[in-house]
Amino acid sequence: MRVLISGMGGEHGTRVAQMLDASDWVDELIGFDLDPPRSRLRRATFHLVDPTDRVRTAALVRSVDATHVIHLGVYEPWSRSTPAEAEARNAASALHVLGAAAEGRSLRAIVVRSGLEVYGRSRGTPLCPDETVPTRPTSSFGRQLLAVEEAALQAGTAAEVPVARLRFASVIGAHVPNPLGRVLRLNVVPVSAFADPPFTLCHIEDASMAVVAALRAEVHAALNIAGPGAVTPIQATRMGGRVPLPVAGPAWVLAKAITQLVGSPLPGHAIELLRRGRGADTSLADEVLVRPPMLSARSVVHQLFDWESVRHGLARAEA
Amino acid sequence: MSAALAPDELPPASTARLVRGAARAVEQAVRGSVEIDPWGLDPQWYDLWAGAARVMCAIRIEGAEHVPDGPSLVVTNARIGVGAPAVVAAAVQDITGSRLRWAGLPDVSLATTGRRLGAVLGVQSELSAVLRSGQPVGLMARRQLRPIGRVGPVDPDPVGSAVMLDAPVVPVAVSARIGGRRWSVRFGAPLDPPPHRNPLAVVEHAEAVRTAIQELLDG
Repeated sequence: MRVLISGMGGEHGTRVAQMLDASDWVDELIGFDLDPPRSRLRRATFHLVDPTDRVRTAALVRSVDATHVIHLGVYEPWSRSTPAEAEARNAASALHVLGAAAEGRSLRAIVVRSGLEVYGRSRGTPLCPDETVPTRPTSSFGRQLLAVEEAALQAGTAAEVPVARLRFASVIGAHVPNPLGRVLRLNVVPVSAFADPPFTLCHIEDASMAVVAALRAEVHAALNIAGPGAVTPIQATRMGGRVPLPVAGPAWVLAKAITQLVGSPLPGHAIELLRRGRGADTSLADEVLVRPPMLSARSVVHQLFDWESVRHGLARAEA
Repeated sequence: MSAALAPDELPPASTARLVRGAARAVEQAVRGSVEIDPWGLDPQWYDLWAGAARVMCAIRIEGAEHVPDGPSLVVTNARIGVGAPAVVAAAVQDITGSRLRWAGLPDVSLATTGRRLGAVLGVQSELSAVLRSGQPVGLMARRQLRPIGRVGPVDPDPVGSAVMLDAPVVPVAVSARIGGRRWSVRFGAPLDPPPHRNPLAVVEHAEAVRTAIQELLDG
């Protein structure tokens, strides 16, 4: 198996690369990103390529001629990129990587990172949708994720290979640059004044294992990936000993500005989560993947506030 | 997911236990230490709400043998006032140990309280997910003012969710005097599933449930 990972430089990409690097069923592991990986890899080859560089990206993907492509080059606004950068990179990355991958003669499967944001949170939509619920994103990031999924499906159709679209809950870990995680660690956390809706999370370890499992399964499906259970914004805030600050209506604009000033900017999809919640029915993924996510939302939040004891690749402990 | 309680684990219905439970619930809310399920149910607040119904009302249950364990759709007649959902929730919890999820929560900001008490939206996709998770769902027929004493129409969408997932549909008649504390909750036998699974069959099944509830009320 010759695996290409786009977005290998991010926390998620690095962890997936580590897992595949240590496995005996991957013969070759190649990756690229606009930043190098966070950890040393034994066998993997990394290329420093900006995914918006069409010529270099397409040339690299074509030269690798991977049997399996893992597209983690999906940039969350205010994670490692500004919203404008994220939007440009997501569109370009999907086009360049998946378009070139579809031309490969050896291609057998595609795994693409998506998110629960694709379902949207408009009025009347289920809090915990399953994969049959129509995708109607109500945030910019949700629309970008849906576009990535569509690009992946087109590539899969062209190459006649299965495409696994992994719709992750917010992926959090102590060292993951997740805007929601940053906001929850502020001393004062903005929460909705009129609602305290539940949301689910996915730990970076579980998210990485889901990618590896989907790769091995070569499944053609959209799969919701989230840990069991849920927390609410006020609960998460109190678990960290922080102070919840009720915010209503136009005051969210002020909350956005203040969180940005203190270095924890709030993108639209995170505000949507704090105001409307976001869950998922993960029954299909639990059935298809060998090891469904194990860390509950509460455990993920505990680890978020527990800086010193979190390391890459250590055994996890339920709270 | 909130675990169902065995009947011998249910909290006894007494005011003192309720007050202690409320204090504990408030303390845990401040610390954020309560486990809620993916749809927002808070087991402590739910048990307090059902417990309050047990303390304030004398609930007579008939047909308990008809209430299955696991997923089911429990359909009741509508009543004026807010007591009926708590009374039926207490009855189902007494019989099966499970917490009943009431369908029909409005999707507005202030609905968080409803979610804490187990309510969920009445949309098919949400109800299907709840039923798949093995929990019973409660549904109230629509209120009908005239003629008095007649059961209103039953929303076919939740019935459709139950039919598609082979979950039993149980008719329930709830009655009490206005201002009184004696309540009667009569569970009927689950209806035979419709022979076909199409929108018309679901609508006819919902009408059959309405008829079954009326017969329980009149009987």
